[in-house]
Parts: sequence; structure tokens; C-alpha cells
Amino acid sequence: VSALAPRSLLRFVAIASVLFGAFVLVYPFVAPAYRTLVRETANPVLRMAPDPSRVEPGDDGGWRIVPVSGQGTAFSVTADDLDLNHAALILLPSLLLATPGTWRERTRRLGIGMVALFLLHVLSMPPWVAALKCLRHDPDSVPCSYAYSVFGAGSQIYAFVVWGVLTWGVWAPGPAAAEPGSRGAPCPCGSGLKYKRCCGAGEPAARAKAAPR
Amino acid sequence: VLRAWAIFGATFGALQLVATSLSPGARDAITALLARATGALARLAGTPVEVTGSLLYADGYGLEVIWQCSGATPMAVFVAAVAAFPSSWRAKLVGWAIGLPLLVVANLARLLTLLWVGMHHPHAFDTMHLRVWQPLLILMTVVLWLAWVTRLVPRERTRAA
Repeated sequence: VSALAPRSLLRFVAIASVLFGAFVLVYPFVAPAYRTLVRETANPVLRMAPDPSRVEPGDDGGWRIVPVSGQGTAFSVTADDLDLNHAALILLPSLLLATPGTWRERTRRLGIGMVALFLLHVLSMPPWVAALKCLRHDPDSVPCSYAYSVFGAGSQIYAFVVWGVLTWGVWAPGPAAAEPGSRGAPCPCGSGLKYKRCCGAGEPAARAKAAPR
Repeated sequence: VLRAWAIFGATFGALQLVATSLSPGARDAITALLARATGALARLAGTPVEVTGSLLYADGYGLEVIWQCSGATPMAVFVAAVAAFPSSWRAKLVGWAIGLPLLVVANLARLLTLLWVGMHHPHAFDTMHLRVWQPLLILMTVVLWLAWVTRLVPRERTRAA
């Protein structure tokens, strides 16, 4: 709960900004190796998709997506397009290392977070490739645009989601903070509901008997 | 925690669906509005800019504002994150009322700086566009959300108690 102090926010913003700048500079050196790792790990996954494909290295750091079945045509994805997907590599470590905690906690979160981001990038490849193929045939298709926005260019949110899941306990009210004076009092989580209908919904009998009349 | 992330996922998914389903005419109107606002800000800063639809021309350089430049994704993330965090409806409404206009301003700052970088340092445009501003807008969204969580929500809780 102490992490909710305004000073923690200022420290978070300062550390995240400095790290963000540093990771922007480091990104061009790390991105090619990361892309190779994603590509090679995703290829077996892509082969299991309903319309199997294979991803190969393309021109200028981009990718070439080749249909395995021989049906359809191969197409290229530029390095700029891939930056839209992989720039979460800059954001996520900045957020995780800036979040309050001991260095041991921060390092642990960083390790888990980067593995989670990598898995999200690999697992989002089949729907992303399918959306790219679909948009080549029908650029106005709403389902394909939606899939592209979620699994492709919109994958910046992966960084937000991974960071949010790993640091939720730092920012959200813990069980200790959610202990009210009585079951009829407003819930400390601020939902506006009574405690018995919100945080205390799972403990009716015990607390009702224990409450003074 | 699971309830919060379910609310986040459902709200973000629904907002993305709405944004994806917008007609091309509605999207063009929004991008043209952003181009006009960026052009007005650039003129205020002393750069003569000509705006045609969603295209900006300045000093022989052209920049097209496309739908992905509208800041819709960071805004959807912010709306969903505020909706998901346990807090009163009043706190959520105040958060949206303050946070969303600030994200619009941040997005205009992005378009303005991209226009400037494109005019004066075209070789750095892709880096600024794809590697700096894309994640930076999400970082700003995180900071706005945390400011709401650490400043406004506790105040609302104290008032409710």
C-alpha cells in the first residue's frame, strides 16, 4: 500500500523515462536477434495453422511469408511493420524495472515478463499472418482488420498487459486494506457497494455472527 | 484480480471492435480533424503548413495522418484500465474526463513532432514514428492511469468512508 504514495509515482515516471530512452538506443542492436528467435520458434506453430505458412528472412531485416501448401502467393513484411509488433521490447523492461520493489523482485518480474512477451509474440503469429493474408485479398474486411489490430500493430498492449498482471499487487488494494468496520459500510475498494456485496461477498455467515448487535 | 482483467479484456476488445467497424467516412473525418488541428498548431509555432483532407504539406514535405495515428489504441487501453480497476463510478468518470483529453493532446504532440522530424531530419522519421512514439504513447497511458490510481482513487475512497 505504501507504493501508492505520490512520490512513488514520480520516481516511477523518472526511472521509466530514463530506461525508455536507453532501451530506444539499445533496441536496433537487440531487435534482429529477437526477431530471429521469434521467427524460428513460430515456424512450427505456423505449420500447425489451418492455412500453414513458413516465415523466412526477407530484405532489409523484414520477413517473407511463404505458403507451405503451394497455394497462394508469398509476400513480404518490412522491418518497419515488424517494429510495430516488437517495439513492446522497449516499453516492457522500462515499466517492469521502474515499478517499486526490491531489485530481486524487479529482476524476477523482468525475467518472467520478457518470457511472457516472447510467448505472446510467438503465439500471436498464426492469427497475425492469417490477418495479413486476409487483408491482402480484402483490405476492408472488419474481422481481419480487427485481428490485425489486436495481434499485429496493436501488440503494444502486450507490454501493458504483462506489466499489469505482474505488478497488479503493487498498485491494487490488498486484502489488508479491504477490511471494513462493518458489513454495511462502503467497501474500501471504492466501488460504491456495501462491503457485504463487494469485498466481503464470500464471507457472510462468519462475519454476520461475529458482528455486534 | 481475474475479474479486473476480464473487465479490461472485454472493454478493450469491445472498443477495438467499435474502432475497427467505423465506416471509412467516419475514419476520414477523424483523421482530417487531427490533420487540421496539427496544421493549426504548426502554424502557431511559425511553420507554414497546408492541409488537404488528412494530408499535411510543409516546406516540400508531406505527411498523411492515417487511422493508426489517431491514438485510438492508447485511448482504448486507458478506458479499459480505468474501467477494470476497483473504484467508484464517480472516480472512473473523473479519470476518463481528465485522461482522454490529455491523451488527445499527447497524440497531437506526436503528430506535430513527426511533422517537424520529417521536415528537418527525414532519416530519423521511422525511428521516431515506430520505435519512440508508438511505445511512448502507451507509456504515457500507463503514467496517466497510475496518476489516477495513486491520486484520485484514494481521495474518492476517503470521501466514501
